[in-house]
Amino acid sequence: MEPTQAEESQDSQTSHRVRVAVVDDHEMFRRGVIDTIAADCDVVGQAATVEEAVAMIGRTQPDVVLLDVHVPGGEGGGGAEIILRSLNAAPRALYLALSVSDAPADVGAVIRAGARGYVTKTITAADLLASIHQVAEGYAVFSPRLAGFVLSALRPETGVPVTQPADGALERGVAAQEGSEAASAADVMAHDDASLDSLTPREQQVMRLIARGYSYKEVAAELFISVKTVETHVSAVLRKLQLSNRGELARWAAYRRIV
Amino acid sequence: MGSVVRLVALLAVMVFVVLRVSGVSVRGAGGCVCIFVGVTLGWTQMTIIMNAADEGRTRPTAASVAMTVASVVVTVAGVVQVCASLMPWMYVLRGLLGGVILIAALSLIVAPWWLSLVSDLGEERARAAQEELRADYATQLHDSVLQTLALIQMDADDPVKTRALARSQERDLREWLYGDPGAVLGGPGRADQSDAGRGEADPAETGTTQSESGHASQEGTQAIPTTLSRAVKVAAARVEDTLEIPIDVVVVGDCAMTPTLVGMVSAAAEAMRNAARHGAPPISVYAEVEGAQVEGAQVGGAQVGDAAGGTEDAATGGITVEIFVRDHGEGFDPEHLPAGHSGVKDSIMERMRRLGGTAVIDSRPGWGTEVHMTCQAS
Repeated sequence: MEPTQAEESQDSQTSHRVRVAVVDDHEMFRRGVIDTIAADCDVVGQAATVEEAVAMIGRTQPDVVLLDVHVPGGEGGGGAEIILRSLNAAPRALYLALSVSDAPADVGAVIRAGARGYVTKTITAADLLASIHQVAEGYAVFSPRLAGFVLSALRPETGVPVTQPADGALERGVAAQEGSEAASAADVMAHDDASLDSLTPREQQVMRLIARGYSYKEVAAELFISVKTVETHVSAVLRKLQLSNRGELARWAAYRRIV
Repeated sequence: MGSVVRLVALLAVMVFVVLRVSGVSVRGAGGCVCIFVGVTLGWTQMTIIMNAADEGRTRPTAASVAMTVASVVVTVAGVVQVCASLMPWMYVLRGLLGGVILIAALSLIVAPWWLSLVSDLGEERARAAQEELRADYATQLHDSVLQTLALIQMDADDPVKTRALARSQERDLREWLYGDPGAVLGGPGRADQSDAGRGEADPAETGTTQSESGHASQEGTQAIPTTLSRAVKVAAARVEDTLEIPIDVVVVGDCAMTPTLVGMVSAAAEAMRNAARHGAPPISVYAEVEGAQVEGAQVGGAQVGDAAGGTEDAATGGITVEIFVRDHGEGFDPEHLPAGHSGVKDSIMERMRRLGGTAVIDSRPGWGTEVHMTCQAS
């Protein structure tokens, strides 16, 4: 069970219903997911194999695609292959990986292919809907596990101490200099030029809090920034995951061939 | 082996006698016998080597190698003798030279094919060994899943219990398949690990032994985790199973267990129990290892993918471990605990203090509670 990532997203619900497609080779699970989200979203298509999925996505042009990582067919690339092959046909589709596996190689492959988030199938209905909306609005969905994974993969280099202003009870009383809106927006922009291969201190803080089980709202409260800023940082981290070739990340090709 | 030698000897004598009787010179007959002995003994050696390989002994014994070499030498000597009996030595030597060159050339031609055969064989063997290991895991897995499914059917009317059973099995299965099999409660090493001592075995000692699966097993089903990530996962799994509340565990970095860390994990388990009993889900445990050095490179991602194999040698100096246990309950005031709940302050904070670390408890109404423990590994 993951903590709700952004309760606020549901409040800022856009007036049109999100158009969702579901790709999963387990029929029972697919039906279950469709039943869960049907009240809140428009389910425009479903598929069980790679070819079906690519065809369906091209035809229906969904806003968000819920995608399993291990999907049979095609060249064996599963979810990652579906994303790559649908890039041209449905350029505006956004992908949310929904899987039983949390093996790093699976997560890595599908994120580097372009998924905006990765959640496991034990997620609650409310969290799933929140995640779908979050992805639909263009933000990344980070579970604590994914955050831990990022922290392992994109650690600062040896010898550089991780700057950790005390969080929790001790920080609450301190109006940190990065506490204001303007300052945080500025430091996000400045760090756009920074190396892709490691996290900035701010991003590190955000990831750490998420790994500790904080929802985006709680992270925002903890660091005295807005939820939007948290989402911006998270998206920046996602971009790094997708583009960096550092260490472990270099090992995961956009999709693996399964012989 | 002995009977083969006797048989060969008997046949050799017979060959000698037959040749001599047919009028061949001593030298010639002797040469033929040598060839015969060399070839047959060499042939039997090959058979012995092949049988040994089938049984898994991939390196031929010294005796086999010696015998093979000896049989080659004897054969060559025999050929030389036969030739010498038929022609002058000069010709024999020239012939021998021609033979050597021919063999060398043929070897060079055949070498690539032979080398690829050998390497393929090595790969096949490795793959077969891996398959056996997987089959082993699979059997235990299936067993475990069958039992859980049976239990679920029995308890079908109790949703809490059913959910807990399902969660427990799902967690174990997922860890086995996609994570670190060594971190599963009652791990995979049960059946075939040798005993490394009884329950009193010092985890620090077992932590430094290079056991392949990272577990020292004992009689019964519990194994002692030798790395921090496994210890944390196992502790959380136990609390989860006992109190039937799901706990998410995230570990970044890893290091070998030390007595101090055993105490710390124990304190963390206490915090988890409190979270499960008095707090509310979602309960998250986050453990971070800072400063573990393996061959000069920062240890990161040991939890990610590889079972903490690479950190077995990690020096324990200068390693800081932090563990956070967060729940989303109603919060409480650590200063004003209701009577009978002295647990938190005394137990966790006292424990951490005694280990030379710290514990900070942050609890706010409506927000929940977070216990932050810090400690040096040694």
